[in-house]
Amino acid sequence: MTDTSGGASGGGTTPRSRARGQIAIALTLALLGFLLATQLRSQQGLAQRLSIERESDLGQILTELTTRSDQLSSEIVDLRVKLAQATGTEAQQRALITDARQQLEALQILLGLVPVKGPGIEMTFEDPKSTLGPDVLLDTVQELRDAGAEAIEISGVRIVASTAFTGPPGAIQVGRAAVRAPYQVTAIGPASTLAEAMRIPGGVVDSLAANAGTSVRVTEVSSVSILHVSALPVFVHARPKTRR
Amino acid sequence: MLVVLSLLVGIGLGVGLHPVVPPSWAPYLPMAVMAALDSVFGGLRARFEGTFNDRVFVISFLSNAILAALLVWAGTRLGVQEMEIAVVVVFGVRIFQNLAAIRRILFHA
Repeated sequence: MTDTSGGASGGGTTPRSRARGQIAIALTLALLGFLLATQLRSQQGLAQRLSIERESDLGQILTELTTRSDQLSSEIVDLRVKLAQATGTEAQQRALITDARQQLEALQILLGLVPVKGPGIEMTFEDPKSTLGPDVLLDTVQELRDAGAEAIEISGVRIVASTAFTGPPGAIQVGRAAVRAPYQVTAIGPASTLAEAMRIPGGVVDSLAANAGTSVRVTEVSSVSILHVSALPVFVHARPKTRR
Repeated sequence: MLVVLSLLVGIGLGVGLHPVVPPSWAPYLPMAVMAALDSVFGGLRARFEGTFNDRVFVISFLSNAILAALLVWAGTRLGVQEMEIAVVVVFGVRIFQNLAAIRRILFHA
Protein backbone atom coordinates (compact mmCIF):
# COMPACT_ATOMS: atom_id res chain seq x y z
CA MET A 1 0.00 0.00 0.00
CA THR A 2 2.83 2.30 0.58
CA ASP A 3 4.52 1.71 -2.72
CA THR A 4 4.51 4.73 -4.91
CA SER A 5 3.56 4.71 -8.52
CA GLY A 6 6.65 6.59 -9.53
CA GLY A 7 8.86 3.78 -8.36
CA ALA A 8 12.59 3.42 -8.62
CA SER A 9 14.79 5.99 -10.19
CA GLY A 10 16.65 5.06 -13.33
CA GLY A 11 15.79 6.06 -16.88
CA GLY A 12 15.69 9.60 -18.18
CA THR A 13 19.34 10.44 -17.68
CA THR A 14 20.08 11.50 -21.27
CA PRO A 15 18.52 14.75 -22.51
CA ARG A 16 16.60 12.92 -25.26
CA SER A 17 14.96 10.43 -22.99
CA ARG A 18 14.37 13.23 -20.52
CA ALA A 19 12.47 15.19 -23.14
CA ARG A 20 10.53 12.10 -24.10
CA GLY A 21 9.66 11.53 -20.47
CA GLN A 22 8.50 15.11 -20.14
CA ILE A 23 6.25 14.72 -23.15
CA ALA A 24 4.86 11.48 -21.76
CA ILE A 25 4.18 13.10 -18.43
CA ALA A 26 2.60 16.08 -20.12
CA LEU A 27 0.35 13.85 -22.18
CA THR A 28 -0.58 11.78 -19.15
CA LEU A 29 -1.44 14.83 -17.13
CA ALA A 30 -3.42 16.26 -20.01
CA LEU A 31 -5.34 13.01 -20.08
CA LEU A 32 -5.91 13.34 -16.34
CA GLY A 33 -7.21 16.83 -16.78
CA PHE A 34 -9.45 15.69 -19.55
CA LEU A 35 -10.81 12.79 -17.52
CA LEU A 36 -11.32 15.01 -14.48
CA ALA A 37 -13.16 17.64 -16.45
CA THR A 38 -15.32 15.04 -18.16
CA GLN A 39 -16.15 13.28 -14.95
CA LEU A 40 -16.90 16.49 -13.07
CA ARG A 41 -19.10 17.66 -15.87
CA SER A 42 -21.06 14.43 -15.99
CA GLN A 43 -21.37 14.43 -12.22
CA GLN A 44 -22.70 17.94 -12.35
CA GLY A 45 -25.52 16.79 -14.60
CA LEU A 46 -26.13 13.87 -12.28
CA ALA A 47 -26.18 16.16 -9.27
CA GLN A 48 -28.79 18.32 -10.88
CA ARG A 49 -30.89 15.29 -11.56
CA LEU A 50 -30.44 14.08 -7.99
CA SER A 51 -31.45 17.43 -6.56
CA ILE A 52 -34.88 17.14 -8.13
CA GLU A 53 -35.22 13.51 -7.21
CA ARG A 54 -37.09 14.41 -4.05
CA GLU A 55 -39.86 15.96 -6.00
CA SER A 56 -39.66 13.18 -8.51
CA ASP A 57 -42.90 11.65 -7.31
CA LEU A 58 -44.75 14.90 -7.70
CA GLY A 59 -43.01 15.53 -10.95
CA GLN A 60 -43.92 12.12 -12.24
CA ILE A 61 -47.54 12.58 -11.26
CA LEU A 62 -47.55 15.95 -12.94
CA THR A 63 -46.01 14.50 -16.05
CA GLU A 64 -48.50 11.67 -16.15
CA LEU A 65 -51.41 14.00 -15.66
CA THR A 66 -50.12 16.33 -18.32
CA THR A 67 -49.67 13.44 -20.71
CA ARG A 68 -53.15 12.13 -19.97
CA SER A 69 -54.59 15.59 -20.40
CA ASP A 70 -52.84 15.95 -23.73
CA GLN A 71 -54.13 12.57 -24.82
CA LEU A 72 -57.67 13.46 -23.84
CA SER A 73 -57.43 16.81 -25.58
CA SER A 74 -56.30 15.21 -28.79
CA GLU A 75 -59.03 12.62 -28.39
CA ILE A 76 -61.61 15.40 -28.07
CA VAL A 77 -60.30 17.01 -31.21
CA ASP A 78 -60.37 13.68 -33.03
CA LEU A 79 -63.91 12.96 -31.96
CA ARG A 80 -65.04 16.46 -32.87
CA VAL A 81 -63.58 16.01 -36.33
CA LYS A 82 -65.26 12.64 -36.68
CA LEU A 83 -68.56 14.06 -35.48
CA ALA A 84 -68.33 16.92 -37.93
CA GLN A 85 -67.49 14.51 -40.71
CA ALA A 86 -70.35 12.20 -39.78
CA THR A 87 -72.83 15.07 -39.54
CA GLY A 88 -71.65 16.48 -42.81
CA THR A 89 -71.89 13.10 -44.47
CA GLU A 90 -75.31 12.49 -43.05
CA ALA A 91 -76.59 15.85 -44.23
CA GLN A 92 -75.07 15.27 -47.63
CA GLN A 93 -76.59 11.83 -47.82
CA ARG A 94 -79.96 13.14 -46.75
CA ALA A 95 -79.78 15.83 -49.42
CA LEU A 96 -78.76 13.25 -51.98
CA ILE A 97 -81.61 10.98 -50.95
CA THR A 98 -84.08 13.84 -51.14
CA ASP A 99 -82.77 14.75 -54.57
CA ALA A 100 -82.91 11.18 -55.73
CA ARG A 101 -86.42 10.75 -54.37
CA GLN A 102 -87.62 13.89 -56.13
CA GLN A 103 -85.98 12.77 -59.34
CA LEU A 104 -87.51 9.34 -59.00
CA GLU A 105 -90.95 10.83 -58.43
CA ALA A 106 -90.65 13.11 -61.43
CA LEU A 107 -89.43 10.31 -63.64
CA GLN A 108 -92.12 7.97 -62.40
CA ILE A 109 -94.81 10.50 -63.29
CA LEU A 110 -93.14 11.31 -66.57
CA LEU A 111 -92.88 7.67 -67.53
CA GLY A 112 -96.36 6.96 -66.24
CA LEU A 113 -95.18 4.33 -63.82
CA VAL A 114 -97.39 5.42 -60.94
CA PRO A 115 -101.04 6.39 -60.65
CA VAL A 116 -101.43 10.12 -60.28
CA LYS A 117 -104.05 12.38 -58.92
CA GLY A 118 -104.69 16.09 -59.10
CA PRO A 119 -106.69 18.90 -60.65
CA GLY A 120 -107.25 18.76 -64.37
CA ILE A 121 -109.79 18.38 -67.13
CA GLU A 122 -111.84 15.61 -68.64
CA MET A 123 -113.05 15.52 -72.22
CA THR A 124 -114.93 13.07 -74.33
CA PHE A 125 -114.47 13.07 -78.08
CA GLU A 126 -117.41 11.61 -79.94
CA ASP A 127 -116.67 10.29 -83.39
CA PRO A 128 -119.96 9.33 -84.96
CA LYS A 129 -118.64 9.28 -88.52
CA SER A 130 -115.28 7.66 -87.77
CA THR A 131 -113.48 10.61 -89.27
CA LEU A 132 -111.30 11.36 -86.32
CA GLY A 133 -107.72 10.45 -87.06
CA PRO A 134 -104.74 9.88 -84.79
CA ASP A 135 -103.42 13.33 -85.70
CA VAL A 136 -106.29 14.89 -83.78
CA LEU A 137 -105.41 12.98 -80.67
CA LEU A 138 -101.75 13.85 -81.12
CA ASP A 139 -102.63 17.52 -81.55
CA THR A 140 -104.73 17.34 -78.44
CA VAL A 141 -101.85 15.87 -76.48
CA GLN A 142 -99.50 18.54 -77.81
CA GLU A 143 -101.90 21.31 -76.86
CA LEU A 144 -102.41 19.84 -73.42
CA ARG A 145 -98.68 19.54 -72.85
CA ASP A 146 -98.16 23.06 -74.08
CA ALA A 147 -100.72 24.25 -71.59
CA GLY A 148 -98.88 22.49 -68.78
CA ALA A 149 -100.45 19.08 -68.53
CA GLU A 150 -98.38 16.81 -66.36
CA ALA A 151 -100.14 13.52 -66.96
CA ILE A 152 -102.46 12.52 -69.78
CA GLU A 153 -104.60 9.48 -70.38
CA ILE A 154 -106.65 8.65 -73.45
CA SER A 155 -109.24 5.91 -73.16
CA GLY A 156 -107.33 4.05 -70.52
CA VAL A 157 -103.90 4.48 -72.11
CA ARG A 158 -101.34 6.50 -70.23
CA ILE A 159 -99.66 8.91 -72.59
CA VAL A 160 -95.93 8.97 -72.06
CA ALA A 161 -92.90 10.11 -74.02
CA SER A 162 -92.82 7.01 -76.20
CA THR A 163 -96.53 6.83 -76.93
CA ALA A 164 -97.27 6.93 -80.66
CA PHE A 165 -100.61 7.62 -82.33
CA THR A 166 -101.14 5.41 -85.36
CA GLY A 167 -103.83 3.76 -87.40
CA PRO A 168 -106.61 5.02 -89.63
CA PRO A 169 -109.61 6.93 -88.35
CA GLY A 170 -111.90 4.60 -86.51
CA ALA A 171 -109.13 2.14 -85.69
CA ILE A 172 -106.70 4.35 -83.88
CA GLN A 173 -103.91 2.81 -81.90
CA VAL A 174 -102.50 4.69 -78.96
CA GLY A 175 -99.21 3.11 -78.16
CA ARG A 176 -99.87 -0.58 -78.71
CA ALA A 177 -103.51 -0.41 -77.67
CA ALA A 178 -106.46 0.00 -80.01
CA VAL A 179 -108.89 2.59 -78.81
CA ARG A 180 -112.43 3.10 -79.91
CA ALA A 181 -114.65 6.17 -79.89
CA PRO A 182 -115.71 7.86 -77.77
CA TYR A 183 -112.28 8.84 -76.73
CA GLN A 184 -111.93 9.69 -73.10
CA VAL A 185 -109.20 12.23 -72.52
CA THR A 186 -108.05 12.98 -69.00
CA ALA A 187 -105.28 15.44 -68.23
CA ILE A 188 -103.82 16.52 -64.92
CA GLY A 189 -102.44 20.03 -64.74
CA PRO A 190 -103.62 23.60 -64.22
CA ALA A 191 -107.31 22.94 -64.94
CA SER A 192 -108.42 26.34 -66.16
CA THR A 193 -105.34 26.80 -68.33
CA LEU A 194 -105.88 23.39 -69.87
CA ALA A 195 -109.56 24.07 -70.50
CA GLU A 196 -108.77 27.41 -72.05
CA ALA A 197 -106.14 25.84 -74.29
CA MET A 198 -108.77 23.39 -75.51
CA ARG A 199 -111.36 26.09 -76.18
CA ILE A 200 -109.01 28.53 -77.81
CA PRO A 201 -110.28 29.62 -81.25
CA GLY A 202 -108.85 27.29 -83.84
CA GLY A 203 -107.91 24.88 -81.06
CA VAL A 204 -108.90 21.32 -80.34
CA VAL A 205 -112.56 21.97 -79.69
CA ASP A 206 -112.92 24.09 -82.80
CA SER A 207 -111.12 21.69 -85.09
CA LEU A 208 -113.10 18.74 -83.75
CA ALA A 209 -116.30 20.61 -84.40
CA ALA A 210 -115.14 21.43 -87.88
CA ASN A 211 -113.70 18.04 -88.87
CA ALA A 212 -115.62 15.43 -86.96
CA GLY A 213 -118.73 17.46 -86.50
CA THR A 214 -118.79 16.67 -82.84
CA SER A 215 -119.06 19.01 -79.97
CA VAL A 216 -116.68 18.46 -77.12
CA ARG A 217 -117.44 19.24 -73.58
CA VAL A 218 -114.47 20.18 -71.49
CA THR A 219 -114.98 19.59 -67.80
CA GLU A 220 -112.68 21.14 -65.27
CA VAL A 221 -112.30 18.96 -62.20
CA SER A 222 -110.60 19.78 -58.93
CA SER A 223 -109.39 16.26 -58.53
CA VAL A 224 -109.04 13.59 -61.13
CA SER A 225 -107.19 10.32 -60.96
CA ILE A 226 -105.20 8.68 -63.67
CA LEU A 227 -104.89 5.15 -62.47
CA HIS A 228 -103.53 3.43 -65.53
CA VAL A 229 -99.83 2.99 -65.55
CA SER A 230 -97.42 2.43 -68.33
CA ALA A 231 -94.85 -0.33 -68.27
CA LEU A 232 -91.29 0.63 -67.48
CA PRO A 233 -89.64 1.04 -70.87
CA VAL A 234 -86.68 -1.16 -71.53
CA PHE A 235 -84.06 0.62 -73.51
CA VAL A 236 -82.16 -1.66 -75.82
CA HIS A 237 -80.23 0.73 -78.01
CA ALA A 238 -79.96 3.95 -76.13
CA ARG A 239 -77.32 3.93 -73.43
CA PRO A 240 -76.41 6.82 -71.19
CA LYS A 241 -73.23 8.40 -72.40
CA THR A 242 -71.09 8.65 -69.31
CA ARG A 243 -69.00 11.72 -69.17
CA ARG A 244 -65.82 10.03 -68.05
CA MET B 1 5.52 24.33 -15.09
CA LEU B 2 4.99 21.85 -17.89
CA VAL B 3 2.97 19.71 -15.53
CA VAL B 4 0.60 22.48 -14.58
CA LEU B 5 0.33 23.64 -18.16
CA SER B 6 -0.53 20.23 -19.56
CA LEU B 7 -3.01 19.66 -16.77
CA LEU B 8 -4.69 22.94 -17.65
CA VAL B 9 -4.67 21.99 -21.33
CA GLY B 10 -6.36 18.71 -20.49
CA ILE B 11 -8.99 20.43 -18.35
CA GLY B 12 -9.51 22.98 -21.09
CA LEU B 13 -10.03 20.22 -23.60
CA GLY B 14 -12.45 18.44 -21.33
CA VAL B 15 -14.46 21.59 -20.74
CA GLY B 16 -14.22 22.89 -24.27
CA LEU B 17 -15.03 19.72 -26.17
CA HIS B 18 -18.06 18.81 -24.07
CA PRO B 19 -17.32 15.11 -24.21
CA VAL B 20 -20.44 13.09 -23.61
CA VAL B 21 -19.96 10.07 -21.40
CA PRO B 22 -21.90 7.14 -22.82
CA PRO B 23 -24.29 5.83 -20.17
CA SER B 24 -22.70 2.41 -20.35
CA TRP B 25 -19.36 3.97 -19.42
CA ALA B 26 -20.74 6.03 -16.58
CA PRO B 27 -19.80 3.62 -13.75
CA TYR B 28 -16.25 3.09 -15.00
CA LEU B 29 -14.98 6.59 -15.69
CA PRO B 30 -14.95 7.63 -12.00
CA MET B 31 -12.91 4.54 -11.18
CA ALA B 32 -10.41 5.39 -13.88
CA VAL B 33 -10.21 8.93 -12.53
CA MET B 34 -9.60 7.65 -9.01
CA ALA B 35 -6.80 5.41 -10.24
CA ALA B 36 -5.31 8.23 -12.27
CA LEU B 37 -5.39 10.57 -9.30
CA ASP B 38 -3.68 7.92 -7.21
CA SER B 39 -0.96 7.59 -9.82
CA VAL B 40 -0.48 11.34 -9.98
CA PHE B 41 -0.13 11.72 -6.22
CA GLY B 42 2.15 8.68 -6.19
CA GLY B 43 4.27 10.30 -8.84
CA LEU B 44 4.34 13.55 -6.93
CA ARG B 45 5.45 11.72 -3.80
CA ALA B 46 8.13 9.84 -5.75
CA ARG B 47 9.34 13.11 -7.11
CA PHE B 48 9.70 14.56 -3.66
CA GLU B 49 11.42 11.40 -2.51
CA GLY B 50 13.75 11.56 -5.52
CA THR B 51 12.60 8.25 -6.92
CA PHE B 52 10.45 9.58 -9.75
CA ASN B 53 10.64 7.71 -13.03
CA ASP B 54 8.60 9.03 -15.90
CA ARG B 55 8.19 5.60 -17.52
CA VAL B 56 6.91 4.06 -14.38
CA PHE B 57 4.65 7.05 -13.86
CA VAL B 58 3.09 6.90 -17.30
CA ILE B 59 2.65 3.13 -17.27
CA SER B 60 1.22 3.07 -13.75
CA PHE B 61 -1.11 5.92 -14.61
CA LEU B 62 -2.54 4.19 -17.66
CA SER B 63 -2.56 0.66 -16.23
CA ASN B 64 -4.13 1.75 -12.96
CA ALA B 65 -6.87 3.66 -14.71
CA ILE B 66 -7.63 0.89 -17.16
CA LEU B 67 -7.41 -1.84 -14.55
CA ALA B 68 -9.66 0.00 -12.16
CA ALA B 69 -12.29 0.42 -14.82
CA LEU B 70 -11.89 -3.19 -15.91
CA LEU B 71 -12.17 -4.40 -12.33
CA VAL B 72 -15.46 -2.62 -11.81
CA TRP B 73 -16.70 -3.86 -15.15
CA ALA B 74 -15.75 -7.42 -14.27
CA GLY B 75 -17.43 -7.01 -10.88
CA THR B 76 -20.62 -5.89 -12.51
CA ARG B 77 -20.42 -8.86 -14.84
CA LEU B 78 -19.86 -11.22 -11.93
CA GLY B 79 -22.78 -9.79 -10.03
CA VAL B 80 -20.59 -7.96 -7.49
CA GLN B 81 -22.37 -4.68 -7.71
CA GLU B 82 -20.28 -2.93 -5.07
CA MET B 83 -16.95 -3.39 -6.77
CA GLU B 84 -16.70 0.38 -6.99
CA ILE B 85 -16.44 0.52 -3.23
CA ALA B 86 -13.39 -1.70 -3.26
CA VAL B 87 -11.73 0.46 -5.88
CA VAL B 88 -12.70 3.64 -4.08
CA VAL B 89 -11.43 2.36 -0.77
CA VAL B 90 -8.16 1.10 -2.19
CA PHE B 91 -7.37 4.18 -4.18
CA GLY B 92 -8.74 6.48 -1.52
CA VAL B 93 -6.41 4.97 1.08
CA ARG B 94 -3.50 5.15 -1.29
CA ILE B 95 -4.22 8.74 -2.18
CA PHE B 96 -4.39 9.63 1.49
CA GLN B 97 -1.13 7.86 2.18
CA ASN B 98 0.59 9.52 -0.73
CA LEU B 99 -0.71 12.88 0.38
CA ALA B 100 0.45 12.17 3.90
CA ALA B 101 3.91 11.26 2.63
CA ILE B 102 4.03 14.46 0.56
CA ARG B 103 2.94 16.45 3.58
CA ARG B 104 5.64 14.88 5.71
CA ILE B 105 8.27 15.68 3.13
CA LEU B 106 7.10 19.22 2.55
CA PHE B 107 6.38 20.26 6.09
CA HIS B 108 8.48 17.69 7.92
CA ALA B 109 5.49 16.93 10.01
